[in-house]
Amino acid sequence: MNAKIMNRSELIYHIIAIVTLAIIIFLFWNFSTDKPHVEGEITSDLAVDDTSSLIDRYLYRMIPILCGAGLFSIVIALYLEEWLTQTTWQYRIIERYIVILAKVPSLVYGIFAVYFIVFHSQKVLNYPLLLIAILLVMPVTIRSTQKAIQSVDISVREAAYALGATKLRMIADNVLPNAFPLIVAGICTAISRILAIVALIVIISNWINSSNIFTIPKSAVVLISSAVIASIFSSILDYKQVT
Amino acid sequence: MQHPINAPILYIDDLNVWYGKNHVLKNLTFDVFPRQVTSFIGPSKCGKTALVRCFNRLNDLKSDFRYTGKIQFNGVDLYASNVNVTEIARKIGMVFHKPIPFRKSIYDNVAYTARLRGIKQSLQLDTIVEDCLRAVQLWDEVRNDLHAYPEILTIGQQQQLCIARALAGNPEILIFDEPCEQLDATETPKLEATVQRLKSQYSLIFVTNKRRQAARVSDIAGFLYNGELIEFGQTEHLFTNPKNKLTEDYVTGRLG
Amino acid sequence: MQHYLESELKALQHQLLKMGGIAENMLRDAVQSVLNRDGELAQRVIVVDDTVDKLENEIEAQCIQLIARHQPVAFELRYLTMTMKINRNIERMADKCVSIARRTIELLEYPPLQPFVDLQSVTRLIQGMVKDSLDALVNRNAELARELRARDSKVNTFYEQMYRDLCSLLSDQPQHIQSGLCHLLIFRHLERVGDLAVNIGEEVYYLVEGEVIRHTEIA
Repeated sequence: MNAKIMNRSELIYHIIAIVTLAIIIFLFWNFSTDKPHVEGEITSDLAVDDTSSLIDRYLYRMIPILCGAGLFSIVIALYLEEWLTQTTWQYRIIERYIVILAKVPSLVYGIFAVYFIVFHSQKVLNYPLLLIAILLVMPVTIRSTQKAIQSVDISVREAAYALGATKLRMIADNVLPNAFPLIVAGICTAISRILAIVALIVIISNWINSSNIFTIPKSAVVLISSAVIASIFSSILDYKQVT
Repeated sequence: MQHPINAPILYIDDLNVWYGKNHVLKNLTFDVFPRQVTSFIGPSKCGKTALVRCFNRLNDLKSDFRYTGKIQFNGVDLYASNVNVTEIARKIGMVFHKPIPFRKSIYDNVAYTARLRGIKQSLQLDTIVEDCLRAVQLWDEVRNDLHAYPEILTIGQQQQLCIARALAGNPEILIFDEPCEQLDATETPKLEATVQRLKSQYSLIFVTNKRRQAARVSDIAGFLYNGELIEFGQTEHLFTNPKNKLTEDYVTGRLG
Repeated sequence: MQHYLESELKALQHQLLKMGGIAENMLRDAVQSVLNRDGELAQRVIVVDDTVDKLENEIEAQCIQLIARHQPVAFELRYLTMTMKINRNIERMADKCVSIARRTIELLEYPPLQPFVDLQSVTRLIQGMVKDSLDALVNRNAELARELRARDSKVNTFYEQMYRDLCSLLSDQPQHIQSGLCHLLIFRHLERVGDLAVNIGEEVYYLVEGEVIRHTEIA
């Protein structure tokens, strides 16, 4: 590792973050894969169950959870940027987790999702949903919100403080309006990732259920195209902010 | 030094400031008197900005800021525990080296500070906005575009808008931190004229690294070098008959 | 900022003209005291000089302050340096008036000399020059300023005429030698006042046209 890119203490933080994350995921995997095995065969249920209604059930559950995760990640990003001092170890380690999770390709989460939803579908479980929300949505949204907040020039904050604004007033009046497009862009990116993964789930369940594995269900097409639209929207917002 | 017989509005005694291990201001002692322009000159990184940021407590934003000594504003210790920081920031307004209009309309930019003061009535806000814009001679130029965004203004006009915004907070002291850094040559005299006009109502502190500008606008001038206040006194004395060799070198342009 | 310096310059000119006005009055009074053998008036002229001296110091300090603070260029620089020079010239004019007044007091000790030259018309000429030099300053009138040089040569002719007359007078009446020398000095001082007015005119010309006409031939 080049010392200029990352100095020793930062490297240590990074290693700690990776190791703890690996341990957490490993434990979770063990914990969650044990139970369904006890409850019996999975594929038999799927044959009876209508896949589309299954997806619907999940989606309806997922929407409030995802909205909550989005809002919660904005709050976390605000807390990280505005209240935590950036030189403390808490800030550094949390930031490492977020960076690492945000960099994991969404397909990895997709495999998680397929595993939990398609193969454990006899029961609508809440915790895998939460896990997916946390792993898939929050790192991306927190990261982009953080960047959006950081993109608000320090001079704007100073100007607001110098006029006698309190911290909350400053955030509400100056930081959030300035950062808003980038925050929305981040949320759009997260939404498009999720839509893509749901599309993946739909396609895989279709393969399992139907004899003709070459047809792609209409709902998957809708999901994929809306994912593309969301990502285009996000890129427009991103571009507009930069220029 | 001849000062008007008046109590100092800012009283600084043996001020030392550190940023981490960096000792940026060393043993400063001076007074700032009301209704005057007090300027600080010096080469860049000599501590001018660090000094004025002590006055409105913007230095608090830096986690490694440390100070010793005394800073009194109207006889009250600025860093006492019972002091309301936002109140201080409003009483001691600041204009930065580049214009920082908020992403609001021109009207809302000026009304922002008035609203922070707790003024909500729209009639009252209207008069404050008009008065403040008139005070910086911007009213006639923007009276028809009050609800446009400040991007339509030139840099100089934006800086005037920032002054108006600071005035809306009804400050007692107004700090200018190198306000002409980004302005072009035709807009600088306008700002300097504004400073001269505001002198009758406010106490002004003017930080600049252009010594000519300090000579033009200020009544009292201080020369800072490496965090030390080398000389402090009447501007004309500083520029015609400096007592210190360093000051002489600086005002003649041999230094920095 | 331009407005600010402009108002300062106006105030400066006001003071300069005030000083010029005092000097003009001093000249009038000094000559009057010679003509009327009025010791009291002469004394008053000497006293008034203090005011002029004080004004001179003030104006000079103001000029230095403005130059130091505003670093003027072009017209404003010319104006300030010119003001300093005119300031000096007016003060010397006032000094000459004081010298005339001193001679007047000295003259009182001697019997009056029969008038041998038209002092009043010369004085009127010189007063006119002083007044016009200040007018040229107020109105930025380069032509008027330039003409002063031609008018000064008339004064010089008068002076030479007077010198010859006085020589012949004194060779006829040697008992009046002290009185005659006093008159010679008075004329000398008057002639110098005329020169100073010309100097002011030259400065005004430089101010308006930006061109030095000192030490050049009269066109």
